[in-house]
Amino acid sequence: MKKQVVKTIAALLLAVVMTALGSGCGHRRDYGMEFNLATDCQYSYVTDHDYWKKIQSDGEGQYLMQENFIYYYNTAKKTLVPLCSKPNCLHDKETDNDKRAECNAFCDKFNMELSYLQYYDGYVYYVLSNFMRSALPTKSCTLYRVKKDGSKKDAVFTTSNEEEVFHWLIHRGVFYYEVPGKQQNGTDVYDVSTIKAVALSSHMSDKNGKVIFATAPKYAATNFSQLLAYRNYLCFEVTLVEHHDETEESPHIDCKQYLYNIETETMEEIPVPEGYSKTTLINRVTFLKDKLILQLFDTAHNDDKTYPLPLYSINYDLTDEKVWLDNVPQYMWLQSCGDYVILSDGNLHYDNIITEEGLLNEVLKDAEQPCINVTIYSSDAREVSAFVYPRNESWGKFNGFGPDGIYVEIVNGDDGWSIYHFSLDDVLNCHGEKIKIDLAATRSYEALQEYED
Amino acid sequence: MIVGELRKAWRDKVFLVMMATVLAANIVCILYHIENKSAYYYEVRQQAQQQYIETYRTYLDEMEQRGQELMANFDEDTPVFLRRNVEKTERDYSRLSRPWIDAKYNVGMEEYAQYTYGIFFCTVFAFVCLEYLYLKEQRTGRMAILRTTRNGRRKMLLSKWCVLLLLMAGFTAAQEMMTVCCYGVVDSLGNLSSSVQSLPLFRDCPHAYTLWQGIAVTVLHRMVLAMVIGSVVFFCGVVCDGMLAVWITSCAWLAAQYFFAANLTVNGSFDFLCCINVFHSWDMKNYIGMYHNINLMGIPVEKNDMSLTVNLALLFGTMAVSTWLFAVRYQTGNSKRAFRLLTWLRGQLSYLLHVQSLFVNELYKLLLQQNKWVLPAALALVIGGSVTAYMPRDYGFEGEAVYHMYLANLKGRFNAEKSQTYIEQAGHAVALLEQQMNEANEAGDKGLATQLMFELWDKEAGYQRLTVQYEKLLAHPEAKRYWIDEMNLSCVIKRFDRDVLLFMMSAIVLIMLTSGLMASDQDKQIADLVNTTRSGREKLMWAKRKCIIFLTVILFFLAQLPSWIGYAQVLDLACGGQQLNLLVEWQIDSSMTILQLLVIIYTVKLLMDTGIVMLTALMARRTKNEFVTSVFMSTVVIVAGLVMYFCHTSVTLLVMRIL
Repeated sequence: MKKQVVKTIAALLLAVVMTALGSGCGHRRDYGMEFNLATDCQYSYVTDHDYWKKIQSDGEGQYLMQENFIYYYNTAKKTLVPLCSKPNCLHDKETDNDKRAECNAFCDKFNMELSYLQYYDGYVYYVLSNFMRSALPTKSCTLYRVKKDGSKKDAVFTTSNEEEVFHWLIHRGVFYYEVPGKQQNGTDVYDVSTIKAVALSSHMSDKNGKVIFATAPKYAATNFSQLLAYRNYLCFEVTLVEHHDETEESPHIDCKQYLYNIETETMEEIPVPEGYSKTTLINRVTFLKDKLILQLFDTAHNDDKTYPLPLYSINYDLTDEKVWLDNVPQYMWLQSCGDYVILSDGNLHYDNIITEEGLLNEVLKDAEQPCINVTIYSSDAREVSAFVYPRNESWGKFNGFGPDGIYVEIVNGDDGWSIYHFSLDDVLNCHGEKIKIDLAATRSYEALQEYED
Repeated sequence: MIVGELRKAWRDKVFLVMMATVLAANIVCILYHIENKSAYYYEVRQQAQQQYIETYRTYLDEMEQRGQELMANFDEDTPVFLRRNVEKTERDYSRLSRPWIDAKYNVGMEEYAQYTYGIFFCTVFAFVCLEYLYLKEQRTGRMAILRTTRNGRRKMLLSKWCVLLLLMAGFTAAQEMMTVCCYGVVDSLGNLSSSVQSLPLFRDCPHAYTLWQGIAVTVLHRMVLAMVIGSVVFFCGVVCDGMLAVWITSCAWLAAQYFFAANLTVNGSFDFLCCINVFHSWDMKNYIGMYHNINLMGIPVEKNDMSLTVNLALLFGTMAVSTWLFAVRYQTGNSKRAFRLLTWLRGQLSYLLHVQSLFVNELYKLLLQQNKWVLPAALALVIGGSVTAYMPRDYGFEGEAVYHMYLANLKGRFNAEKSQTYIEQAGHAVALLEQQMNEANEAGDKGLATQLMFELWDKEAGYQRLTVQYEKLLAHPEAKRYWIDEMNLSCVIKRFDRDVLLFMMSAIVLIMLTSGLMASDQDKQIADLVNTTRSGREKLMWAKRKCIIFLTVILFFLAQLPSWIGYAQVLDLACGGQQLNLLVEWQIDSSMTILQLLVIIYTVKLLMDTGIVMLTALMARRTKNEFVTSVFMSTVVIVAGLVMYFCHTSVTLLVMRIL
């Protein structure tokens, strides 16, 4: 009898411990209602190619993805080192492929352009495709993470063989990723893309992946972009090309912005403000504390880059829609950083041309005028400051400030590459003058060799 | 007692034969791995060696600078371990004042360092030792008598442990010496007095070893690891009841070790588990050529020191626990709930089981009495999970979905006229898409142009693939022609990983069932009793053979079922008449049909299974030992499976290649 009681108690205790372990001790982390640098998507780094983010901040410095390596630039000390804490590692000077793979800073990119990184809670995350690493045909991708001090590197999650990850982000404990796919229906093939969410943990599995959005199986092509998150909201753009046949002149293309409430798990389409024609769509969304800022785009005036349209503000419940700033050229670049909204005119200096291969390319319109005008607005749409950003061919357009208010630019040179930086505080009191960007650190290429396999 | 145990082992001829066989298998494995390298290969490696020599000095000299760079970047929040790690690394490497780097590329040493299969043979030998030192005596009841004695039980088991450790260490030393000699003879070990850092593989080694010292240290380390493996296997043998339990627990530990070795890295968060892992540590590249410190409460500890400490603790721990258990337990055996359940089940089934047929009795004995129903059940689970692996993909890579769509419209008998019309229509659709894209480009509609471009890439790729297939079919009007979704067919054929897994699993299950049928009676010396009967011997043997044939056929069909379902999804029966030379994915110049090819492939597979079963039955009758037979044959199958897996091949692909 006594033995039985002891056994029962032991079994109950074991069950309690297992349940507690399984549910992460039952405590859900409180992320608060403000921006949290450690656990939130760093939406302020929205570049022209917003899904190719190469810079992330941890509040004290920046993590940079350059070629096949991740570097850490310490803002205060102005030091630039590979994200690997092993003194016996040659990092980017390593020529041996096997030994290079052992470097914690090395990210073995085969498709160099589609990789980017994200800082999250003491780790730097990035996703790599397994296509070249597997003997079997696979589209799977693996999420890797490197500890912020460069001491550890782990593969934390691999998608299934059919799931190729395009855009992704980590926000408040969840890994969101876009999976493009095709679905055959009778004699036609449709594009069906989904956004899935998997809780970040030590036992991540694609089986636990929850589909939070999927396009209907009726489009010829679908595409996600501008995947951003703030507080309890995930925002993204979906481009949908309708299925078309030979009788139609041109397929109908639709572009929609969606807002997903992480807490209530509800998805809503952000409506185009009333009074606009069908050719007007929402081109860009950014977060400004307790409201969203919407930038419109009129496809009927596609060629007119300076075509004026207002910026709208709207609450997160998609109410109280009003003009936030009027007469903004539709090609102006919109960013936000904390309490500020930043508009830059980099795009206005470019022309779209068609190359001989039939591809679209951007070329600088006026080589004599290589500067970008940047204007900073407060949350009540008051102009706070304006400055001229001295761009050139290698610097690219204005990339936006990090959540720590630091702007970082990587410049590739012949013998090495350099980091230039300035802070938001430096430019808050400018009156339209050209600013000076400081050279912070350089790293020579030395034995850095092109990746060969 | 130790000497007595050693003598016992020495006098057991079968044991000696098994040991010699395992050693011979190791040599065969080495010879299999030796490749003929071209002069160009040596030239390239020699150039690489020259470059390595030039950079090695810099590598060492810049160690301090790299350390200082890191230290400069650390702040107050940086874990103390990282600082200490940098300091320790600098200190460790500072001991290397002037390593003598051999200018000549040392191919033999490199090959030896990369040969890691020795651990598998050590594992097999550990099972052999367990069988002859402990299980055999337990099975024959000798152990039970000895256990009734008041004193001496601990001494007896400890002496067996000591003999096991001696045998494992001796075997490993002999095996390693043979391996070194093999590579020395075939490739030459070069100048063994030069520093171990002469090989780029060992660049990160912080010790001032010469090459021969490096070999000696590795061999000693492997001897310890072999003793640890032997200890764990022996521990399972002493603690668990029944052969199946011993087999499962030992294999589970080894599989877990192998899994960790394959999936963990020293750079990862579980570096501790990786470093103490026997498979990881066995690899000379990792043991000598990798420098890593483990964080032990902020103190950096060299991974090899940690590995040695933990493995020795495991060795002595298993020794102590099993000796204590052996001493306190009078009789092993479980006659509790499971036994009562089985007895009840037998009672309920008594009517059904009261049959005269020897065949049914043998099956009952094998599956229920020996509890081997677990094996086919486990295999069924794997087979169930494999069905989806052979299913054709809806969408693979660029253009594949479009190709599938075209084939969905065309599939069946090839009709030149109808096909031509369809292909013209498809071509027209692609051209129209291109035109629409160009128009969007000209209109400056970047978004639409990009979307159309992606769609065009897909359609063009699918269309081109279709056209190639069409032209090939059109060029052979004399043959029976069919539109076949070759991408899906290829997908089923190329699943070598599943093929190998199913082959290995089904073969191991067959081996264990066959050895159970053929050797368990001999093992328990019941066979001697049966052999004294006048007319039952032949009938019994026939019943056993029928059982084996029955199980072989059933397991073969079960194991092949997932791939058959896959082929059925891809091919209509009529399409099986397509000649192989009409396939685009496979450049086979043969007029054989797909159906004939599949018959050949599955016949070869059936023959392989039959061969394995026959060898197992033969070996079981010769050794009269179920345990040794199943372990030995399973190892052969596992090694064959691993070779196939790492060569990215399978029986199906081999047959295709031959054709």
